[in-house]
Amino acid sequence: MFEVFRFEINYHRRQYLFYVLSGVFFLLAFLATTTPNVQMVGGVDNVNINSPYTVLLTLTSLSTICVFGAIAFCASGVIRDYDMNVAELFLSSPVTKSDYLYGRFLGSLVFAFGLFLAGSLGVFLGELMPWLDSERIGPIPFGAYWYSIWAIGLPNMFACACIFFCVATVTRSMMATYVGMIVLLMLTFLLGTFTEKETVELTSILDPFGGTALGEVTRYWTVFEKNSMVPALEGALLANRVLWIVIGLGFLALAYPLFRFNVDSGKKPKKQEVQEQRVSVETTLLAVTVHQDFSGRAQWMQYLSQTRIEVLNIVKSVPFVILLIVGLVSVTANAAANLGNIFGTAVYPTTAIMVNIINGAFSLSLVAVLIYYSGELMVRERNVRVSEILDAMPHPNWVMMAAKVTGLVVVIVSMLLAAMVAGIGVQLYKGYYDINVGQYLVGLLFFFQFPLYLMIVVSVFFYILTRNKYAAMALMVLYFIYSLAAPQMGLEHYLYRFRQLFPPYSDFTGYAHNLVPYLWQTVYWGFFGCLLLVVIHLMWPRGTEDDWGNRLKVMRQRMTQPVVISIWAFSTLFVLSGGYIFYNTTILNEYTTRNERESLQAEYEKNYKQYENLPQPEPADIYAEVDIFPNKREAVLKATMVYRNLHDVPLEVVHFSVSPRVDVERLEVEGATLETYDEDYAYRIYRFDEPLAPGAEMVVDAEIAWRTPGFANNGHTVKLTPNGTFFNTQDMFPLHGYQNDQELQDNNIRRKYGLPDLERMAKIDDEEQWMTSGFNMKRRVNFETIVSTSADQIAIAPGYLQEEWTEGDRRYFHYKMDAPIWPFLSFVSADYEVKKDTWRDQVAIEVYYIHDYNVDTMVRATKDSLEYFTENFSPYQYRQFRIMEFPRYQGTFAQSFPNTIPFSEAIGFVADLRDPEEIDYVYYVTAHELAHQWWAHQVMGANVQGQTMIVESLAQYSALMVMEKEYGRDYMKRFLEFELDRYLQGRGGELIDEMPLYLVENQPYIHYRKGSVVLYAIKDYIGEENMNRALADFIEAYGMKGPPFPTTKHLIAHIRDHTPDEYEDMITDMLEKIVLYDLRVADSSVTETDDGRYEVTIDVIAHKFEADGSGAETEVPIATYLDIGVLGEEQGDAKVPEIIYLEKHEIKRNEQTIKVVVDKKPVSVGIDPLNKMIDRDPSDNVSNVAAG
Amino acid sequence: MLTIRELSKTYPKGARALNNVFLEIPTGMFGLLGPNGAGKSSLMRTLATLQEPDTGTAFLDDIDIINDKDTLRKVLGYLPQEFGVYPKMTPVDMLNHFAVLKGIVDKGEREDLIDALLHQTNLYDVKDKAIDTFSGGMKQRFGIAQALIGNPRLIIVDEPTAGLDPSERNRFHNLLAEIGENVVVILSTHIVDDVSDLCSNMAIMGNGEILLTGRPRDVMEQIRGSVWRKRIKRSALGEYEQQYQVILSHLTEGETEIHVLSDAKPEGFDEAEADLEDVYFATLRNHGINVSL
Repeated sequence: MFEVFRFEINYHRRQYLFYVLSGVFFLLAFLATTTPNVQMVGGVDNVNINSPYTVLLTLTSLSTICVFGAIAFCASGVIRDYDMNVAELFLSSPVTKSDYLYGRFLGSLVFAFGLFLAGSLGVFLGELMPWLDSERIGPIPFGAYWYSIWAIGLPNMFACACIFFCVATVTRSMMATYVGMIVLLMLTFLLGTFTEKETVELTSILDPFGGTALGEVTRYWTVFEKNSMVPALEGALLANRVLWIVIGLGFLALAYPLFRFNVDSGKKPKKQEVQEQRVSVETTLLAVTVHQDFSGRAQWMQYLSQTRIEVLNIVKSVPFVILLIVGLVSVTANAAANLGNIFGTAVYPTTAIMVNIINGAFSLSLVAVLIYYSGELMVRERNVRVSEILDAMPHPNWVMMAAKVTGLVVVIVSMLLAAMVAGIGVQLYKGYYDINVGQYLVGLLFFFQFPLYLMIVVSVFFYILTRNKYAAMALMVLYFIYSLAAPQMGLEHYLYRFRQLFPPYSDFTGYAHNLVPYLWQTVYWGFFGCLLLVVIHLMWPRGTEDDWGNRLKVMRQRMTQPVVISIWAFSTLFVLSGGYIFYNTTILNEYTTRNERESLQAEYEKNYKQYENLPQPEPADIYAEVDIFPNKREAVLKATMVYRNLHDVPLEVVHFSVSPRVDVERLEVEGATLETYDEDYAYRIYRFDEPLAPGAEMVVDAEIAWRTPGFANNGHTVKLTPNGTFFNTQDMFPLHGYQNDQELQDNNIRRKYGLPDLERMAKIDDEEQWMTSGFNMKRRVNFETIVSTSADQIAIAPGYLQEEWTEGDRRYFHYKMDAPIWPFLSFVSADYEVKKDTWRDQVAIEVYYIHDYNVDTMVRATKDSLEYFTENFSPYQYRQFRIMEFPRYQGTFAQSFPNTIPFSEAIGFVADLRDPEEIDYVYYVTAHELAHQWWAHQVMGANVQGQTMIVESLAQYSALMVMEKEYGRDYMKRFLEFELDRYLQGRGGELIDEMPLYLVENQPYIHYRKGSVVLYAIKDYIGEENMNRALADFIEAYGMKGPPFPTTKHLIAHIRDHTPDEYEDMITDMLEKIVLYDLRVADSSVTETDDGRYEVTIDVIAHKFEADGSGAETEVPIATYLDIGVLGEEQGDAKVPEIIYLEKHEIKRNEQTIKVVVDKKPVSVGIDPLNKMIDRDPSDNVSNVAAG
Repeated sequence: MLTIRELSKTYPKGARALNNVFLEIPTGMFGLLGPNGAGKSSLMRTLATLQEPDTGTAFLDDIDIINDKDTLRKVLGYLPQEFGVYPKMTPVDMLNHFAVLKGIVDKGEREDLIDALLHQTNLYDVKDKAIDTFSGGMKQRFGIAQALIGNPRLIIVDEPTAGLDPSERNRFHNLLAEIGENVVVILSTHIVDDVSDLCSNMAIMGNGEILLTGRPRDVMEQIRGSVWRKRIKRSALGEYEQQYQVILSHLTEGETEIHVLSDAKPEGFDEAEADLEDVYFATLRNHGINVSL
């Protein structure tokens, strides 16, 4: 065995392949570590560049990538012997079968390990490089390297090596081995798409590379943990490692009995030579007269005949069938499991969504087929040695070339058609019958396909250039890397970078206006492809000679007039269409790269941050005429606004900026002249002729146009569309003062521009800031507007409709507010259906929609919410409530403007709520947005830390209460599980510091997710009535008032007013600290008492931790009240256990025994059984009770 | 008439494959005889439009083979030295495809033609079997069938009988013999019997040059009376080689028989019936081409 092993080692040592591949992996790993342009893992921007977590993830994905290299060593050994006919030598020498087999295997394993270690070395050295951001370099994590190598990397390489070796040994086919690899990778990819907690437990054990298990273990890791540790090798991770090592060993063992230790080449085992009967038939040769035809029609037939052969050759081959099946399975699995769900609730499988799923899940199969077969097709004639016959046949060169390209196209198209059928199957299975075949065809065969068509041509070209299918594949890989990395290197223009064609689609517009730039891009790159085809034609190999000298000679011969003409024609068309694109993207519009935009933002901050706290006048009355031109995708604003000096000092200047996308036609400030105009940032400073006295007013007249000439490189705004316009104040109105939301948000980028770390929000005690609300304004304003749109659309803005009229092809709507509102204004226009209803004859409810699935739910949620909020908080301040659907590509959110709620097509209107067990998030979102009419529009927090708690957390709480009333407590548990999970995950993605809830700095995972969990828990402790009374008091104190505006300290004071003394600490823990619990039932028993009752003894373990902003935890003594529960049999459809006993007990020690007596026979017991506390492992809170 | 003038070819690695080749090949069967590496295949491939010469011209009547490949291909039938076909395809599929490529667009004509070809080459019974399961002889017959598609005026057959057993070779010869007299058929081979059995004209090639051309009968006539044979001990071969111009040696009844070239009868030798093989080896010898005996 050692002999064979040594032979294998020596063989590879002498081959350049190992050195080349190790070099490639080393370099790749090094670049991934040292430059942001190459990325191997995502989502680690907030932790140290060399944190143990980053090292672990990087080496894990490295081991996945190394598989591509390892396969060459694992598979080639045995196959090589047969290819080179040295098998006979080996097999006749005195080596036993197992020596031969396992010596070979060990030899290749050494090289597979070597590749991975070379990559690991690249990461290690990369992290030592001096140019890395020193702020993000921690101590060298030797332990993490060691762990990642022996626990993750080497087992991965081992398992893969075993599998590949077995497949190669048994089949003796390189292709079969490649297919094995692709199946393995697709399995990994497929398992990776299941992210929900329920399925992830299983998938983390099954995932071949352990990535899912690692992700699961580190799911709730904070920055601190990611920077300081690696996961323990236990539980699912250990099971996963062991499983795959065992699977590996299994394959290895299997190789032995299945391996035929003989020289029968094995490739054609069943082939029997045809025996002919000797019949002699005398005929005169060529008795048949035939006619030859070499016209265009004949060439066309030649082309068809050759194409037919190409297609049959692919579709009849086993790898193709396997790749197709794997692709279809992954499409179906994705569609079935992952249909764009929110809170686990699926959306209707609309064709647009199915097309997206197919594009996502199928691309790996398609690209694998494309790259493999493009190489294969190009060498097939030579491999089967029919090329000399074919090349001497009288067909023009283009026939062969076109047949190859067409063959590939036909294969890819038919794969997509199969996927389409699978997609339709899913739709029908889900009971969705509105199937749009046209959209499938366009979405799949055109948009998705076009890049593949081009890729086919490019990969054929690479083959023609290199005449080597491996070199061509390598060039294809470079091509992929270029198309991914170019934008990161500042090469963003689509003139030299071909983009994936995914024009945004919405049921509002179809592809509509988004189509134009894509079509031009298609045309441009299409001509490029044609040009490449001509070059390919010139260089197409024909005959037996293939050196460059000969190629040039042949090219000259082939430069016939039609060829020259087509080169000129295609070049001209390519240049012309490129010119047109250039004209649109770079002359009509401004072309900027991300780097340029970043540096512009940085400059803006450097130049104007000094004015951040400069007193500015604020609007008091806004009158706006807004003309929306849907088809032209334009909007024009004419605003007359009264500004008032709300400060107690006279103001000398007023600063205005506007969104960079609009043109200011006119901006006149009464009594002031333009002093400075900075064109780069559209920043204007006006100086008053006479300083504006405190309380004095002046009029600002503005005319602002938002145009979308031609098309832009990165696309024009998605907010202006032919159907479904939606924009807000920030987009079109002049904004006074410095706009700090334009600042760069990522501290890593800020450091690059020499900016200090971002201060996300003013400190809570900065009383000066209490004078400004979260809307960045001091006072509400009077608002009146006339919005016009095209005659077929309805335009909506905040306010009550005063009048509506049509003039020519324009339709006008006059809206007016009868009381001041925050100037947070939305303008919406689309061709809507309208559903009208009223609540208690006081509030008009209107839903403007194009999808009617869930409109009734929205109306119901509105009524229920109005009921609850008016009863418990305060009256509703408006007489109407409107919801407007907007196109999905404008965002996946709903937003609450005064009595007006734009609501995305993607988050509620297409949710599939037919299954009553699914979480009704349409109901929840509606309630949440309606709650903002209280929490934002009635009470707005001061513009300091904690402001979003007042707005978002309270809206979450309000919505939860409405939901609880409608759906019951059990339902809430499921919802809150999601919220807890998202909160705990969100902590790991924190970029700066996790804040306690009351100091939240606009951190969604805190103000939404943690907000839900802890406010619901507080309600549970202090009681719903107390909680609502506290909130009502809070509104009473601050509603519709200000400045000054309240902070969370004021809010908490109101809550404490209604909190029983024993729970004061609970309020502190939940709102003012970051506290986590680890609660478990250690043991329990039950004994029946003499009077037929049950005495239950529960041993609980309870730990309490306080975390700092980075997530570092310190255990603190526990002294708190927690639920102790005794649960009975599961009941009802929801299978929720009956609650026999649920009371709060004071827990003072880490281990405590609690005895309760209940009437019914208990099944399980628990501490915090309903998971109200923040506990990273909520599942061990309950355990079955042992009969005593 | 195929006319080749001044055809030369040197491969990039320096091997001189064709050296100023002049040849005039009339219609009928023409045998091109030469050892391996003589340049036969280079010449065949050049004539089959698969390879570019460095210099020289080649015309089939008025078709410029070098510069007007497309026209030549329309009248060319080519059976390469080694060939295969797409896997799993039957003779009918494959011939049909080749017929389309050769411009036979009429479906009925194509079917008739394929039928005739399959009968002619005795492959009719296996027309639905995959070609890659064929024996060597059947495959060669299939090869000739495809070369015959579309009334070719030039048929090039490169080493068709290598590796065939005698009965297969015989069959193949019969097939070639039936090709009409007004077509130029070039048969390249290193087997002398192929030429003597079939060809009315021939040339001998070596080192990229044409060493001899003529009718087989004529060239044999030229050395009649100067070939002598003797049975010797195998161990004595070396001595004889030094003493005489040994052109060939072969085994007869376990003994070694040598043929030597000499104007006068050498001591101990008998006169040999000079055949094409003697001509062939003698020619090579004369040009210093060492063919191991």
